[in-house]
Amino acid sequence: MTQTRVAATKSESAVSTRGLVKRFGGQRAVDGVDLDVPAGSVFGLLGPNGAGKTTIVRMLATLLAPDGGTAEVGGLDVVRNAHAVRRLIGLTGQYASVDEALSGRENLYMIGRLLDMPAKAARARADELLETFGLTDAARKRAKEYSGGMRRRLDLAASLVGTPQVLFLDEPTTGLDPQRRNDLWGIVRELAWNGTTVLLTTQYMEEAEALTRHIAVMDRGRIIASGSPDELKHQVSGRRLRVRPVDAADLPVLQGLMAEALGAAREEDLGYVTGPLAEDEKLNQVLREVAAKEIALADLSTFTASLDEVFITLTGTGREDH
Amino acid sequence: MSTAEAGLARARGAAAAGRVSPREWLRHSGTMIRRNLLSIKADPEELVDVTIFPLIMTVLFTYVFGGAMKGSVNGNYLEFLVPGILAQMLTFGTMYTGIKLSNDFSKGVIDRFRSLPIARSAVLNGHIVAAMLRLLIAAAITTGSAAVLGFRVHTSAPAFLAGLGVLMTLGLAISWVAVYIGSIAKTPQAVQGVGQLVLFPMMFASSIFAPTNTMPGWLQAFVKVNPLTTAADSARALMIGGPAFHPVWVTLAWSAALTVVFAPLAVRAYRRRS
Repeated sequence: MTQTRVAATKSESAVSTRGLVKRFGGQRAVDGVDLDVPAGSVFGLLGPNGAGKTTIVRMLATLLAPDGGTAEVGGLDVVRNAHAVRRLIGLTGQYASVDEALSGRENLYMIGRLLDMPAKAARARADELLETFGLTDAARKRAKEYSGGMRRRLDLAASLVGTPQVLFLDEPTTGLDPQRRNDLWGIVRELAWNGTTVLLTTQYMEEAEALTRHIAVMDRGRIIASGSPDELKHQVSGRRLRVRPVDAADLPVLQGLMAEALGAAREEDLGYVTGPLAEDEKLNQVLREVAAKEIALADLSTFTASLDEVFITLTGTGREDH
Repeated sequence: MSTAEAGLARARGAAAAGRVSPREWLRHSGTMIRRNLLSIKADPEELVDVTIFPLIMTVLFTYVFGGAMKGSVNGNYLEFLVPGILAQMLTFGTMYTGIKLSNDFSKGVIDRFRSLPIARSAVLNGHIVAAMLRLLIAAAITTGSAAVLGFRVHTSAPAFLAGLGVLMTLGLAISWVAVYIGSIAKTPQAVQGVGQLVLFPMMFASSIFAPTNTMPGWLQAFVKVNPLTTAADSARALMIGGPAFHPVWVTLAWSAALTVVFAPLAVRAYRRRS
């Protein structure tokens, strides 16, 4: 498997796993995962439904005991030092939720008290977070009556009461409209700016690209690729060259010379020929031969595959879902 | 970057502190009790099962069966019924604990609490203490309304309180059964279903609503060992009068047995559920 270790040394990792395994029944939901999340970074765990992302987060948040391998948060083992790990983390997820019967303010106050804040400090912290997340007007409303976007913000606020060093966000924007999603992205960026380490899971490459410099792509319990968004793009398809002749009659000749120069080329819709562009020199080579054959070009461009294409290529989800 | 590292280093130092202290345990449990009481305040329907329902039963049974029953209960059915209704409260009043716990699991609230550095038992403590308080509130409302209908305690205030004490002891024991069911059932609806399936026969095949001496022998065999019978008989003896030793003793034995069996089962099921 392709496994680029993102962080260099263990001491800089806020989260680190080695050979992490979780079985459900006979199935390996998480099948030997190595992760290194550098302290202070935003790390994206990307994958389709059922890839094992949530299971990893639940193990890191001490909710689920691993069946194999090790996991550390802030250098502390999540099994042996579970209680100490809980002092470091915040969790917002599909499953970690607030108490619907209580108001937004009561929820945040309760968590503050559970985190051993004096009553006054807990009240102040609750009000501060309500303000930050634009929930002051709804502070006294029961969480049950909140809209989806408000709920998500309250969930996030609840995980921030104790100012965690490491924040786990399990699909934080699933089901949110684009406006609410952008708001939430802004909050995540601000947290990262202030030094919080964020590990977020998502099904959307767009989200991973918008927020993170480090991405690990998961499929069926394994990490199948990792690196920065740019690295991932190159890893899969790299840059491509696309040209269109003025005269469509030149297409076969063009395709032949590009195939020879680039190793592969194919005709596409609207009279274009595309091929992989491994090195910049190949571009000049193609241009020289086009000039030698006196083919007039109407259009020429280079492009990189979108991360969504990369994702689909890596996980093979395209076949089933698209 | 450096602030994040410094934070992690600090946390590693704090890790040596480890588990929660008794003071923290008390505060965490107290916060959880408060949480449950707030949810009663926000959702007074929660109290319906343990207040309005017994009230309706008291009024209906008194006026529907009261006259016909007069002969077999020494003339005053209300006196017979009210201690029984107080025992009946223990059933649905405690089942609510299981439903609420199950709801916490299915809504993800338990996950939130488990990701916090708090005493693991605090959530259960909150539910169980709140259940006891709910029962007390319900007992006060039921006794008060019964007094309006003409119910009077014939013994003494301490005996009346002792009667309540015996009922609460059994209520605490049944709460562990409810916590167990709440931890193993997949949904709150399942808890309610299982609860009703078990509780309805137990409630009617007892001395709660009617004297047991006219029931057929096979039923009496069950009725006699039913803890709701001994609980109702205890409350009757301590509030109205009569021999109290035997029913009280059996009720307390039941409470001890249920607690010894179900408290460890419940805690284990709660811990294991992910």
